[in-house]
Amino acid sequence: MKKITALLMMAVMLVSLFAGCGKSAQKNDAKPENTSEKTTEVAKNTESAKVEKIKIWVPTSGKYDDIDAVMAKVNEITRAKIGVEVEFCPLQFGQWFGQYSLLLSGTEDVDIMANYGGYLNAYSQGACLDLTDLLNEYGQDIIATEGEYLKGGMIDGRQYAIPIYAAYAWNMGLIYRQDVVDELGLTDQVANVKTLEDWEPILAAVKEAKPDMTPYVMNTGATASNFQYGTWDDLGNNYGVLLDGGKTSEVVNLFESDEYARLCKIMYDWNQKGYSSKDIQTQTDGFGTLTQNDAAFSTLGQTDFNTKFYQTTSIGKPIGIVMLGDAVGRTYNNVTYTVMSNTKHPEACMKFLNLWFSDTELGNLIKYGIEGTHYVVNGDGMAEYPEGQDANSCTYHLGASVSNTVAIRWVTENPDYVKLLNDANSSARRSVALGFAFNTDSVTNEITQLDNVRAKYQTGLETGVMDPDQYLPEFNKALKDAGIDKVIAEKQAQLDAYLGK
Amino acid sequence: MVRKDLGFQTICHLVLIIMSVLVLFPIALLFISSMSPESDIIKYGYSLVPKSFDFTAYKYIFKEGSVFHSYFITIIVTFTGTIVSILITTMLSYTLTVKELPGRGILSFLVLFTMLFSGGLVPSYMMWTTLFHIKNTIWALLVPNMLCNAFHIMITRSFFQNNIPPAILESARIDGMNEFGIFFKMVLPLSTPIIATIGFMKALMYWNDWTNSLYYITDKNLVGIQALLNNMLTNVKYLAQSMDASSVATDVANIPSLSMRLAIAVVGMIPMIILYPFFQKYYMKGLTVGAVKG
Amino acid sequence: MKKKNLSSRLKKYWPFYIMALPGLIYFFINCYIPMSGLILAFEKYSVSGGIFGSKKIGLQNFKFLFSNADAWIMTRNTLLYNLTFIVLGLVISIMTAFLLHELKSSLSRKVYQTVILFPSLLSVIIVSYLVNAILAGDTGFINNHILIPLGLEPVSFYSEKKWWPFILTFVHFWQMTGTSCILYLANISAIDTSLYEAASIDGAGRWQSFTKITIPCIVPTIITLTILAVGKIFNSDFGLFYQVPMNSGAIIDVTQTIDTYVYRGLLNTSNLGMTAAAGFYQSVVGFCLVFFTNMLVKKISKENAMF
Repeated sequence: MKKITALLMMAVMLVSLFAGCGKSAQKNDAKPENTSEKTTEVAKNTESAKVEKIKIWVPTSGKYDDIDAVMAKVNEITRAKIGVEVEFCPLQFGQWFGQYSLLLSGTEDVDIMANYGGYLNAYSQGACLDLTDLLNEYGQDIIATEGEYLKGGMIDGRQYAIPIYAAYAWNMGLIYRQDVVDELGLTDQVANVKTLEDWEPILAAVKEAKPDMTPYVMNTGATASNFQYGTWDDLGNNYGVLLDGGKTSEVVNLFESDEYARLCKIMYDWNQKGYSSKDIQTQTDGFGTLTQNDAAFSTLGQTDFNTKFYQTTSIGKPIGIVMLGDAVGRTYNNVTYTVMSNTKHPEACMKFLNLWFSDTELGNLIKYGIEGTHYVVNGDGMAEYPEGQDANSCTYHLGASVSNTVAIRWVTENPDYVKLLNDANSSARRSVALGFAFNTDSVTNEITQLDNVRAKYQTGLETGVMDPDQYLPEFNKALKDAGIDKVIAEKQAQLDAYLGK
Repeated sequence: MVRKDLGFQTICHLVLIIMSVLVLFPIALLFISSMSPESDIIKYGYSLVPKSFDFTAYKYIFKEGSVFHSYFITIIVTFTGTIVSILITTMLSYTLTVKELPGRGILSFLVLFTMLFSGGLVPSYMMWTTLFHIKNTIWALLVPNMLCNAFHIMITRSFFQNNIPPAILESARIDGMNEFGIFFKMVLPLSTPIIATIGFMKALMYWNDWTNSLYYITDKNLVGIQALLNNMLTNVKYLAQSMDASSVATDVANIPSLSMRLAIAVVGMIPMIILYPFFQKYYMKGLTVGAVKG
Repeated sequence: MKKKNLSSRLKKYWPFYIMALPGLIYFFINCYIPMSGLILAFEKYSVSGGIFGSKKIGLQNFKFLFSNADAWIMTRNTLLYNLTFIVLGLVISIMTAFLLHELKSSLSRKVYQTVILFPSLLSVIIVSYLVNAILAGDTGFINNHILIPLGLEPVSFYSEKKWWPFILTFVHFWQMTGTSCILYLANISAIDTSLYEAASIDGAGRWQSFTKITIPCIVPTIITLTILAVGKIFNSDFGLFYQVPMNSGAIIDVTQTIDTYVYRGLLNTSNLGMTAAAGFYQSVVGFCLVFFTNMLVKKISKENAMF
């Protein structure tokens, strides 16, 4: 009995201790809220001293211990230039994906929201503010930088999201170990590879010479399909695509196309010949991890002007690429920024986004922190960690940005990145569907079923574990039963409307 | 009799040894693989006899996060949460065993109903954050979905029904003991087996929980160990797949993702394994005390 | 007359209500307030409308659960796995608890018990990597260290359906036995030892005292646990059926459950309404089954009924 009482006492003490803790944390939390309310009130009363406070949520894999100091500097700039104070709420990626849908539900103090992996779910919940007029009024720098690619954030001709300025032009390509190719004397042969069929003899040679190295693996492990970055324009999902990167506006069924059957046959052939692992469809590690350990030779993936440089530095082994076709400019909405529909400060949000897009000092601050403390600029004009610091010991390195052209580059990056990016984006052929967004509201039922059919067949077929002669017809029949034709018809109708036909 | 008993004991041991081996083998594989270089696993496969040792993954885990601080948070939360929830659970369950209590059936039903129907994550998130403002407080780790659940109420109730003879309670009432006294001085001491069991299950729940932290905590100082490890796991996974040419991605690309995952599991288990024998002492005592008195 | 009776009863029982209060308040806040969110199952959610003000669309959110070719497969799998888990679970946990209880040496009891509890410390994601470490084609333990050295053909587990009902059942019990047997252990430990002594004086063997004393004494617990499990019969452990098979398509026919179907279907179009609808459907079925089972129990032995 004594023990029980003692335990209870202890528990009560602990709880009250934490209640205090909790309250103080709450207080800290509530503080900026109150002051922001106050400032808006003040702002309403005295137009001249108008400083609006906005909150922006971003995911990061970097460091943000020193965020208060950095934000103080950021706010010096934003207060002076646009009369806005901004508070960044960074979350680690793991947490981000857990909290994203909750933040979108509209209960939280969110003004600007970063969206990773598309913003259409946010849009369909009515969480995105229509930015069209704000953009025209306050977003001239964004328009100047992005040009036509800004359409990636449009739905039905209205701007709902600002996509970051990234590499819009890309195509499917082979990514491989250059040093292995050179070692085996295949350099010339690789230079002549134009199609996936041409790659087979290379794989054969690698299998022969390097028994420990799997000649072909999936790019990101089993989390994405093998043809995720296909030569076709997938129009948001793969039910109904434009072949050849959107040369014509005819929406076709990818899975019935000759191109898809051809790719599946090649993969099946490779798997049968042992160029890919028997377990390829449950591969847990990506190409990067595998090839770092000399366990993989090549993969298929998204390739653009910078893939070779980026993969080489990040993997730490010489990497080469073969792009299968020309780079095509496509709708990009993988990473976008949206303004919450219930924000009290829509103008301030747009002013801030525009400044972030165009102001080098601000861009550097948010991305790398305070110069001299969190990063230094080396002789080549590139940023790096100060003497004695590294990725682990640094106290601020958020890495987040909206424009890839404004902030200076990190020392591991391609020094010519900005020029190459602008060239690639402006010179590439564009898909006719650039800017098209598919509204799935009328076919939600079909999509849930189709996604389940895909889960059953897609990975198996695309990795070559399933025999396409047997399973591809089965796959297509299941897709038809699940209503793929209805989805394609709907998509065609929406695309025609978009193109003004 | 003695010989027969010996035979039975042997069978007991035999069956339990087989079970233990089945359990231990994969865990041994986990421990050993987490300490092997990633390249060995990829090339030679998983093995109980490592070719060499490598602690990069552990170094990364302990260097990166505030692992010890998170251990501390989790231990505090587990301890407090377990004790409070044992108290709430036993009190409510005991009430539900009082046969004559007006509304007993309705109350049981209301408790059971919560096990079957739930409003889902988003509505409860909205309530906890806008009505109770628990975001970034220790309450977020203790309260939502954790403090008390219908399953534990029901099994505790069935234990009370089964093992507390009403006659004892009746005689205590006649002796003039009040109901609180009866509960704390008679019922609880007779129920140590179920208290120990529920306590253990609660502790396990609190220890393993990372979802509350995922949803309600953004303050680094309040992140528990499982949430911290889970974050690392998803971060590494995200970066391993990322095509994003940012400076951060390049820095972290050298983390061994395979051994990392396994090391994370080990780091999450170890304190519980260290603490378990101490806990078990009380647990076993609880089991036997109840038996003697009952 | 009756009213007075009630008020006098209330007077007598008020301490119990006080004791029940913290728990009841907690259930009200934690479960009943958010339960209003069930209304989402009949709505198309929008931020401006919130939970109560969004557009009502009737039963449209439920359509995707029934209008597909896999509806039968996923329901069959969910039911069969759950029935197996319930029935086998009873046998395995009670036997394990009984064996642990009967052990003479308390040291070895401690050791065994600790060991079988280990797996409950692992999250299901980690379990899935462990299963992969054992089953994988190239790096897996079974293929690398057992089948190939024995000169047998390696098995590619992740593309052969026939193994998975056994693998999933094994993994389920591997992870769960430790925690489920301690419940029975608690109840077996609480049985009055004099009952056994009396039985052994009467010449009852171990098996007889097990069936005649142990089992009847834990019947209420068995009934409680079974009714609770029946209520969850349309639900499944998502991690076990999605993570452990590594989301492999080739074996979907034997791993698809209602939960995995909903997850796969809504992964790319997160839809609050449809998620709520699926949960609602599972709950209604579980509720009906619990109600029915409880009625049955009430008929047979009134004191063991749940409500």
